[in-house]
Amino acid sequence: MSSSRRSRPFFFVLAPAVALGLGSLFSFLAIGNLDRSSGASPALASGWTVKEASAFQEFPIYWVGDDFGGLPLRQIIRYEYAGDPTNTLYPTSEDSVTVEYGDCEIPPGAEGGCPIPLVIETDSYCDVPPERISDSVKTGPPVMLRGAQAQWMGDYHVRIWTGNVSIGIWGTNQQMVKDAAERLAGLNGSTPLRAGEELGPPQAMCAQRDWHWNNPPPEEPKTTS
Amino acid sequence: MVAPIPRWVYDSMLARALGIGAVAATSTAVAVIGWPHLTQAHLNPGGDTGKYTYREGSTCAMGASGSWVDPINVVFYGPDSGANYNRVASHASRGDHGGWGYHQGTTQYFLTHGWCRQRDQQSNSNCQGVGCLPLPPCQPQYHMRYLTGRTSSGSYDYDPSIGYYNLAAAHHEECSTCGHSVDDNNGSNSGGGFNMAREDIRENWVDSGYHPYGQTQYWDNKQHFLQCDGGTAWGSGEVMFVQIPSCGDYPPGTSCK
Repeated sequence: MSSSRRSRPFFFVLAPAVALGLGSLFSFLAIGNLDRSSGASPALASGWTVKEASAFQEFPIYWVGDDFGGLPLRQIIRYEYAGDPTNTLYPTSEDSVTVEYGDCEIPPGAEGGCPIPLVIETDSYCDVPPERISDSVKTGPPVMLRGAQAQWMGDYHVRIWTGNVSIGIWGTNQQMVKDAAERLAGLNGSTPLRAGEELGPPQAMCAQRDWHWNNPPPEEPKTTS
Repeated sequence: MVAPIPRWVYDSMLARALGIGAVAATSTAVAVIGWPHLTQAHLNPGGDTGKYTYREGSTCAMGASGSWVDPINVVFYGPDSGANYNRVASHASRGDHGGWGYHQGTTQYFLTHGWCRQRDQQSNSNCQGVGCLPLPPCQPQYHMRYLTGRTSSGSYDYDPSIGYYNLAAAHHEECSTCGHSVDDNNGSNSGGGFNMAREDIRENWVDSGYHPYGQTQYWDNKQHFLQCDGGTAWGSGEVMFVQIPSCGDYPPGTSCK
């Protein structure tokens, strides 16, 4: 057997390994670069740029600027989920724009992810209206927040209904969520809302939907053979 | 919320006796009053029970949201105390329920009535690790960790609306150079790994007709989770309730599977 022949198996083993290693190194460097993103033109993880989000016209998007208390803007996600029309149980569509702030670290050796420190999601009002929220997750009665209707769900999450949108805020402590709610500002539109201005009450008309009991027992259940 | 009993107290003989007594009293109440007519609410994801799993080593305490790992997106429930994690595992492993027949993975914790409890069991659809050779050591899979709800005394909790219940965090994950990552919600119409898994359970357990009376509740637990491959995954906030009654409790004419 010639030496070139002998080296082929090593090539087939080593080449993918080298490619994998380079890929990992590239990913590592790319993610590291994202951690440093800040300022007027942040290097976002993926998704929309601020400019792209600014041009969005379907509904107002809310955010807290390029940086929130040292947490840089990480990613702007335009998310549309059509639902599964073949599944009678989960046809629920999603139509949102989400702004993420900060980064987190997964402990070495651990499975699963880690929570992004601050997440602000703007949904179409009719996708997440107040009546959709299960009573079991509500913390206290609805409250007014900057003139808008709001509902706390634990200390780290509040949802706000204003105009034709529903805004969810998730943070790692209650004060962060409160501060973010106070600093919410419009990201798109010709005259976006400024931080501190009144958000105003919700103003949307939605078709009635059955949110909680959308799976009646089958009419013709299977019988035991 | 009732204050939790410290572990050292619970471990004492007296506490054990009290626990047994509580179970007996609950069973008697169920037998006398009937299911589901108890008076106190228990499955309360806004307080007594959490909406996410917690990282190992976490206390599940207030302020520990940085330890959240996965959203709870399925609740398995039934009228009898046998509707616990063992029954969930048994159903999950069935071929006509998706065949999630392995029990591999790291542990995570759930909050239930003051307890930060390690998951009772987990089910996954593919064998993982060197013990599965000649298969690759990492394979894409469905995976869920689950815990039977507990009272503050540690016995199985009974909710007046649904009976005994199991909180489950289900997801689909793919293999990357860093290990398993829950499927990113971006760039696909699958709805992401958390929703994919819930829908797989829906198809194989509920739509099949074996587990009637499923319902959904919107918990809005849509926190975004960074995965080790740099992707972001999140649930839709929708929690599916799947009934797992004992065979004797199925409606006449329906199958018991």
